[in-house]
Amino acid sequence: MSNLSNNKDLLILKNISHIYDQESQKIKVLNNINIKVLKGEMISLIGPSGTGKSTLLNIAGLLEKPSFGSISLSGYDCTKLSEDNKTILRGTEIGFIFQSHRLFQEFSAFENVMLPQLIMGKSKIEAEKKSKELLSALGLKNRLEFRPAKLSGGEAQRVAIARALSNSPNLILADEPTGNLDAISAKNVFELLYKLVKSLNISCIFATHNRDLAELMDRKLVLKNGFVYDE
Amino acid sequence: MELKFFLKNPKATQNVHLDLNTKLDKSFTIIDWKKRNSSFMNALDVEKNVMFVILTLIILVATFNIISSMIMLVQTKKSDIALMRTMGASKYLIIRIFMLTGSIIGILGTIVGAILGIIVSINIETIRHFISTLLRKNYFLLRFIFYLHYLQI
Ligand SMILES: Nc1ncnc2c1ncn2[C@@H]1O[C@H](COP(=O)(O)OP(=O)(O)OP(=O)(O)O)[C@@H](O)[C@H]1O
Ligand SMILES: [Mg+2]
Repeated sequence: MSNLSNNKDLLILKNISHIYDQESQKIKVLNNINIKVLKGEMISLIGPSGTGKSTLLNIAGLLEKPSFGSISLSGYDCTKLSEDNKTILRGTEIGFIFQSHRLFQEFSAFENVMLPQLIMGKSKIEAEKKSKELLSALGLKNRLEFRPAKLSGGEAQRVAIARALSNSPNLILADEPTGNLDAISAKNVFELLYKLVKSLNISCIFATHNRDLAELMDRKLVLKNGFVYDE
Repeated sequence: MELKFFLKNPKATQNVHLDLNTKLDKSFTIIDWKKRNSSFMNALDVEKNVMFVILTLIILVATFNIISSMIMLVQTKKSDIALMRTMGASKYLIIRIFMLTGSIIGILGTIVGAILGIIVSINIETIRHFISTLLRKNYFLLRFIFYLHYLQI
């Protein structure tokens, strides 16, 4: 696996275009997009609904293969990786947060944070220790055994953040994580995530419709008509 | 005139038949026990074949049941599967999870089915008796519905 980047660039999207093939028409969602994400940087991604924010995050998260262009993550040229290696990279390098917390209802908060670690082959003892640490750091020390249904929206989203961080990823991809929260919880969740990104020196792309939050981040990317603008 | 031979080995009728055929006069007709009871043997044969078809159909239906419920399970868990893929779960892990679920259902089903089957076959006489008393109680009803009095067996 070749090293395309210098040490400061965590994620490089190069000439990314993406076309969805619908029955009759082709929709060009992304048009020759270039983005570099530095280590320790928190970037907001804004733009009207349906402009391809989620699509861009899915491509950056190696969930979807772009129609054209190349991706480099932590020095790995992802266009050349096999599906299995991409899966491993996704597990170790990337954490996902979604609009709804998407925690498993059958498991407690604690077990939900353990799950990704067990998937990546950590031992149970290690996973338990890390889960406890993370949830305590996020102020959920006395919510460990709660099922997601018994958590408030903000608490559930904090558990989801803990889950995203559980394998110590270098990149967090957050797709409107505050979209379902009231203004105060949204601000709290954002500030928590911002602090974590800075203290762990990792990177985050944060898609949102909330312009106030976008203003608070290091950099603002605007997606419009398939093009991306730095603001 | 009729002569009866009782064989030590009742299955050896074919050889004896041949022997007698060559040694005896042509005026004798030789009939073995299988031929004499041929309608009974036929009935046994038919029963064997019909049972085979019925059991095959039952197994087929049960199999389709399990298959369709597994497909339904995968359909309802689609978003959970996608989520686990984002956590770095490989395709093989997902396949393993569903294989394990299917096997557990299959093995549990087999064990429970076998136990129930053994219990039923041990108590078959009681069950038969119970059903027949039930039927006798409802005899007039049955007669009315199924016209059993028409059927002469
Ligand atoms: N799997 C798909 N097949 C076909 N078209 C798709 C698919 N996924 C998304 N699209 C289309 O791509 C465009 C961008 O969708 P996307 O979900 O990325 O928008 P978004 O910016 O995240 O919107 P929102 O802010 O509402 O979440 C939309 O027009 C959508 O209809
Ligand atoms: Mg979206």
